[in-house]
Amino acid sequence: MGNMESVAILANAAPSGAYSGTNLELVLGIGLCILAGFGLVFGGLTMGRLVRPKQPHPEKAAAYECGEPAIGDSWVQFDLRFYTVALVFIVFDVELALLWPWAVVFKDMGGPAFWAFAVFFVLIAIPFLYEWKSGYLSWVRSSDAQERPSLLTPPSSTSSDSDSSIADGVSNVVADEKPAEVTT
Amino acid sequence: MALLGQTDLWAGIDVGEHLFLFSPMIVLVCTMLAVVACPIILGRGPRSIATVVWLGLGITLFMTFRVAGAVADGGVSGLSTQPGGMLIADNLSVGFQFLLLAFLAGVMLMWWMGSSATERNAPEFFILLLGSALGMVLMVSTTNLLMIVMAIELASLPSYAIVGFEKRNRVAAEASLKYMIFGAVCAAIMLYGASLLYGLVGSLDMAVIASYTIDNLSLGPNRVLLAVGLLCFLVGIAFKVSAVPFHFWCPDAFEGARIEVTTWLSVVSKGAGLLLLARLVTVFCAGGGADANPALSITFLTPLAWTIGIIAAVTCTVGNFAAYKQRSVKRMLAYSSIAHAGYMMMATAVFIHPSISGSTAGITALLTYVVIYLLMNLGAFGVTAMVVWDTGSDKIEAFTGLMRRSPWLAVPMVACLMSLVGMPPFAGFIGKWWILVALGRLQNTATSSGMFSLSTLGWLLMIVAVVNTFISLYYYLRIVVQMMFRDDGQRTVRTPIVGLAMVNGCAVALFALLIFAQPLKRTAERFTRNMYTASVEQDGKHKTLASAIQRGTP
Repeated sequence: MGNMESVAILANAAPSGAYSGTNLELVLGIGLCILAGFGLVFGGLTMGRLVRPKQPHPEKAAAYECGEPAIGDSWVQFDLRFYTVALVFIVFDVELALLWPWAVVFKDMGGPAFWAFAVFFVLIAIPFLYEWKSGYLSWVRSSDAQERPSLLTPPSSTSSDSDSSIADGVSNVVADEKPAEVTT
Repeated sequence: MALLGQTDLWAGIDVGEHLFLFSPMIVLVCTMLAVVACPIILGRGPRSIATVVWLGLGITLFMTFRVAGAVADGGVSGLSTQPGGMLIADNLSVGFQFLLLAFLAGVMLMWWMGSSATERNAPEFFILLLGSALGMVLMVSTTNLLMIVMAIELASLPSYAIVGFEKRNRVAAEASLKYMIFGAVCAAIMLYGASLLYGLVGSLDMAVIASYTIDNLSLGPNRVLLAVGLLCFLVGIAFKVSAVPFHFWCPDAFEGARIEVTTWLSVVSKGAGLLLLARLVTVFCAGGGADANPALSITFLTPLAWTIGIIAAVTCTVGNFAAYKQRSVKRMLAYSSIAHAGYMMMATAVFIHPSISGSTAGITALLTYVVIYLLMNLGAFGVTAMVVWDTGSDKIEAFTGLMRRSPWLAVPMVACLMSLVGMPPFAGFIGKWWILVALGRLQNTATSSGMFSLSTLGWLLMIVAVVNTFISLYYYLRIVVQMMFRDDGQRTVRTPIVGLAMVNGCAVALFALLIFAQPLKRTAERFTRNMYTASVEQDGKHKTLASAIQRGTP
């Protein structure tokens, strides 16, 4: 109804949109859609509550884990190390996504395209080197790995201090990874 | 550069000239890259990295000076094949870059005094700081819908992170999370508004959207959708300015963040938002195109002027009343900055075209107020920072008897607070006065042109501004009383000499700006002269109405 028409306006980018109804109709349409949305959700829930048989059982109240007994709570701390995957993904996926159209036009544009991408590549490469150097890409970052002196900076307090909080975070995560008690 | 100009993508654009016009931003990006490269090459020493940043800021300042010379006679838009251009280099954007660099230097000084000794993550801190600076510069340099959204996000995202920069500090983490969630919601609403506007108008150029608005806001068949789109888009700007329904992040973020970050956010972030709003207002006021009748155009924009005016009045009042019961000086200054955002937003509600009134009073008042506000806040936050560093408390009790303990801190604090109130011996007075004059001019011009709705708005805002000034007197004076007339025998505050020089310099500058008010205003007028552009030509040069503006004096 009104909602569909407003979508049609948005799809039609010309200033003189295809929409011809009045504003009252538009507001009514949106209002009806909102009402219908509420009605569907709450009406369904209320109907179910009235109609369904009520036979409570502890097995039913448990979380459904494909038929297996649930092991612990789902509100556990996820391993912080997955951010490494996210970092690598951002660096290389953005690069790839922008390399694709560049590769398509490269044949026509030639030299300028090469230099334009060279600039972009530097923008990506320097932060990547920074991540690598700071150790954010290594999968295992135990506390004693933080103390290991790096190749380029002297083993001063600055380099170890800088990441100690992250190291603590990792050690906490490792401590959390003890096998949880199996609840039956 | 000539090589790039030969290809189709860059056809019709003098790439070399345009890259030169935006070189300050390019230098900022290069500085960020250099800071990222520092841990690879130089190590993570805070002071060495700060030196790199100082160097980058110096080069940026140099390039800004050169660009200022190039755009002095009129604005240039560029870096796009579209008529409107993606970015604009003109007097306003250059003027804001000067302000931003000056303020960045002040924030860097505060960081150097307060945090550099214990800083563990200096590269990250400066990347975030410079990233938000770049976003703010872009905010003031564009009238393109997409670019505005991107610039606001670029300014916001580093701000969220930099508020929660101290990972172990729970207050900071909470503030950062609140700021981020609030910002994400506002960005979503703004994007929705932007998509509605683009869907309706079919153009990203604000000048085209403005002319569509003038044709349709009062009479057109799509006026509800258009109004919703404009309102949603305004939400994003109101969030940056911390206008009232969107101000909840502000006190928490200001309290939780480090004080130099608070100083940074309180002035430049809001200044950028306000100048963006001012630029949009000027584009809308001139939006009817070169052949349109500006008076008629503005009549159709009256609802927009009322919206901005009401938001400004409410922001001002809520900020001042909420500041009353604060015990923390940082929080009180946060609410004070909300109130001042309200005052400055009033100046953007002055919807008059210079061809009617002969002046750019609103924008000129805004620009001078931003300059003065920068000095007042840098001084007030600087003194607060030094008290906090020494006593470890930002409660008002930490200021007890400061006049005896450290007169060199107390005197500039009194100057800055009185200037924030708008008391005569300081520049805050003249800033507020010019805003009132601009509102009076709005009222006057609107009455003589028969636009009585706008005339009422002018009266209303003038009354609200004056009443609010009286309200704000109380809570600023409370600190002054605490410093001058109470004493509990605490010891002298230990202060770095650079910090003393900075805050006293701010106080002296506030005093001097009152004496040299006319040059300040003339400069601001020169900077705002080219803003009311009737239309943007295909070759990228703005048509200006400079002759109409030079005629009168506000």
